Amino acid sequence: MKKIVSIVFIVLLLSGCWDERPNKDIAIVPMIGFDGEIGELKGYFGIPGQQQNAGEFSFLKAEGASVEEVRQKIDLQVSEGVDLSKLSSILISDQLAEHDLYSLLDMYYRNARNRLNTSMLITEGSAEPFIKYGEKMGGNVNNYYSQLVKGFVQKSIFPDIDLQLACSYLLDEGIDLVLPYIKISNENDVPEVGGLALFDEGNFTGKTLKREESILLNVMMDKIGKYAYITYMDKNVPVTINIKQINKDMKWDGTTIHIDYKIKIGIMEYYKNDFQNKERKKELEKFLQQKLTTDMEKIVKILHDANSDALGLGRIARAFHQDLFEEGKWKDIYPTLTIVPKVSINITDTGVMD
Amino acid sequence: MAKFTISNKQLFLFLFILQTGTVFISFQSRVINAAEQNAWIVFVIVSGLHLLLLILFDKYYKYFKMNKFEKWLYQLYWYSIVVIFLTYIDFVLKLWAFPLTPAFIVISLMAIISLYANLSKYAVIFNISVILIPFIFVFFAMLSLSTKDLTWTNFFPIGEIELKQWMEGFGKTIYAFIGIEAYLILRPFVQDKKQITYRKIALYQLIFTLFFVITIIYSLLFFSLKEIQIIPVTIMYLLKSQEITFLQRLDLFFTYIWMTWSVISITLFMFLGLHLYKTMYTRSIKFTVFIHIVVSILPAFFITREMVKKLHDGLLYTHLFFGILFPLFIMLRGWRKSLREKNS
Repeated sequence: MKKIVSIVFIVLLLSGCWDERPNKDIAIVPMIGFDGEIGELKGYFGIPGQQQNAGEFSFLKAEGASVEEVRQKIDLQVSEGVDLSKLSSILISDQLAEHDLYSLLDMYYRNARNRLNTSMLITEGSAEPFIKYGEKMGGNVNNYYSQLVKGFVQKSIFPDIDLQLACSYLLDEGIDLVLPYIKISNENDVPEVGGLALFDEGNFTGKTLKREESILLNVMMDKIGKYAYITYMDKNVPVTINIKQINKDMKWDGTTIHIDYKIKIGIMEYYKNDFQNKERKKELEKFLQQKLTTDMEKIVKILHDANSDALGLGRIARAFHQDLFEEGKWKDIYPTLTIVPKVSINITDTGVMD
Repeated sequence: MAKFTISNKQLFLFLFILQTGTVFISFQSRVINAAEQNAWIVFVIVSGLHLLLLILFDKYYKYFKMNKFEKWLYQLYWYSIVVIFLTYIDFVLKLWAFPLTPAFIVISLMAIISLYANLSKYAVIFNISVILIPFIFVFFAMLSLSTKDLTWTNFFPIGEIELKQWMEGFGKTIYAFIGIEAYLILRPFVQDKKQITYRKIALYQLIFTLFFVITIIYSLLFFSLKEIQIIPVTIMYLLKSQEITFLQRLDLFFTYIWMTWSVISITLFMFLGLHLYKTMYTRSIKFTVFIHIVVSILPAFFITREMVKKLHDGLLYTHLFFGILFPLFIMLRGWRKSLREKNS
C-alpha cells in the first residue's frame, strides 16, 4: 500500500517536467496599462529586473488591435518571454474604459496561468505616466498599485474588487462595477487616489466619487474594510467616527425603495468630550444620523445621474421582485426608482475615554 | 473466480470515489446552465430517486446474475467510461496544469497506476481510496475560503422552473450518478450480508448528496449565471480566484488533488471491468495489461473540446441504460427465474 501511494505521488509530480518555466526564461510583468481604443490599443508594460538586475526597471510600450496583440509585440522587445502570471495590477485610462471594459479583460480570463486577484484601476488621462512611475517605485515595483488598492480597501475607500469579481459584475445585469480611480498629483507628480470610478453596464460613465463619498458608498453597500473614518463638524467641533457595524434593511414599495441603515460607530476624536451627558450623546447621534442620511441621498443622486447601480439593487429585484426586474431592461427601470436611505446611529465605542 | 470480502465501509467508500472522481469538478456548470437557481433542488430530487434505486439494488442484488454477453457489455461500458474520463482529465490538465506535456505521457502514467493496482492484491483496490479522505476535507476547506465572496441573492428566485429546464437539469444531474451499478457487483462480497441497513444506504446517499449540493451552491452563489455559461469548470475557477498567502495558485494544488482522485476513480472502474473478466476466465494478467494499453491509446484520438463534450453527453444516455434500466431488467429476469425454480 505504501508503495502504491508513493508511486501515485511521484509519478504525478514528475509529469510536470515539460511545463517547467525557469525564471531565467521569463520576464515577469507586475503592472500594465492601456490607452486608446480596441483596434488601436496602446499598451504600457512595466518590467522590473530579476536576480542580478534587481532594482532596474524597463518601461516598454507597443500598439496593437487587441490586448493580446499588444502583449505579443511587447514580447518581441524582450529577450525572455513576457509572463503575466504574476500581474498584480492593470491600469486602464478613463477614456478607454468608457467603451466596454470587458473587451480588454477577456484575455486574462482565458489563460489558466493568469492571476485573477489582479487589481484593476482607472487612471485619469493616459496610463503611461502611471506605469513610467515604476522607475521611482524601487523595491515596491512588483506590488505598488495592488498594495495601494489593498490599503485603501482597508480604509473603506475602495471596495475589494479584483479581476475575477470585476468579471462577475460586468456579466451581471443586476449590479454595476465601481473601480479605484487614480490620478497624478498636481503638487508632486506622484500617483494618488482620486476616488471611485462609476460604471454603467461595463462602460465608465466619466463620473467619479471623491474619497469621502467612496467611503459612504462602501457603507451603503455594506462592504467596509477594517476602518471607515468619516469626519463632520458639529457646531464647529470636529467629530471623527469609525463605522463598526452596519445592519441594512430594505423595503420595496413599488418603485420606492426604503433602505434603513442601523449603524454602530466608535468615536475616534471629539475634544468636547461631553458623553457623560446622555442628552448630549443623543444629540450627537441625531446630528450624525442627519448628516449621514443627507450624504447618502447625495450619493444616490450621483449614482442615479450616472445610471450606475453600484448598490446592486438589480440583484435584489431579480431575486425578490421579479415582476419589476422582468418588466423591461433593468437599466431602464433603475433611474425611475426612488431610493430613500435612512440612517440610525448608535455610539457603541468611545475609546478608553468616556 | 475472484474471492474476497469487503466491509460495508469499504463498499461505500469505493462507490463514493467511483462516483465523484473526475465528475465532481465539471458537472456543476452543466446543471446550473440547465436548471439555473433550481439546480440544487433538481440534484436533491434526482439523488432521492437514486436512493430508491440503491435500496432496490440492495433488496434484489441476489437476482443480479449476468450471462457472458452481458458481462462483456458491462466491461465495454466501464472501459469506455475510463477512456472518456482519461480524455477529459487530460483535456483539463492541458488547460490548467500541463499545456506542454504530451497527452500520451499523462495518460500512460495514470494507466500505469491503475495497472499496478489492478495487478496487486484486492486489498490495494479497496483501501487505496483511503488516501483521498483527508483530501475531501482539504477540498472543502479550500472551498470555504470563498464564502465571503458569495452573493446570496443568486440563490433566488427558487422554485420557478419550467418543465424544459427540469428535464434538462435532470439529464445533466444524472452525470453525477455514473457508476452506481457498482453496488450490485460488490454487494455480494460484503462480509456480513445483513450489515447494510437502509439507514446506512440513506446515510451514504445523504453524504454523497451534500457533497455535490455544496459544490453546486458555491458555484451558483459565487458566479453570475452569465459567467457560468462561459466557465465550464466552475470549482477550479472559484479556487483560482482565492488568494492565500502561502500558496499562489490554489487551483493548481487542487488540480493535483483532483488528478489523484480521478486516477483512483479510473482504477476502480478498471477493477470492475477486470473483475467481471475474472469471473469468466481464470488467466487474466495478459488481458489486464492489454486492456490498460488500449485505454491509454484511445484517448489520444478524442482530446478536442467538441469531442469531450460529445462523449460526455453520450455518457448520460449510457448511464440511464447501464446504471438503471439494464440492472433492473437483469434483476427482474433473475427474480422471475427464481420464482419459476421455486414453483417447479
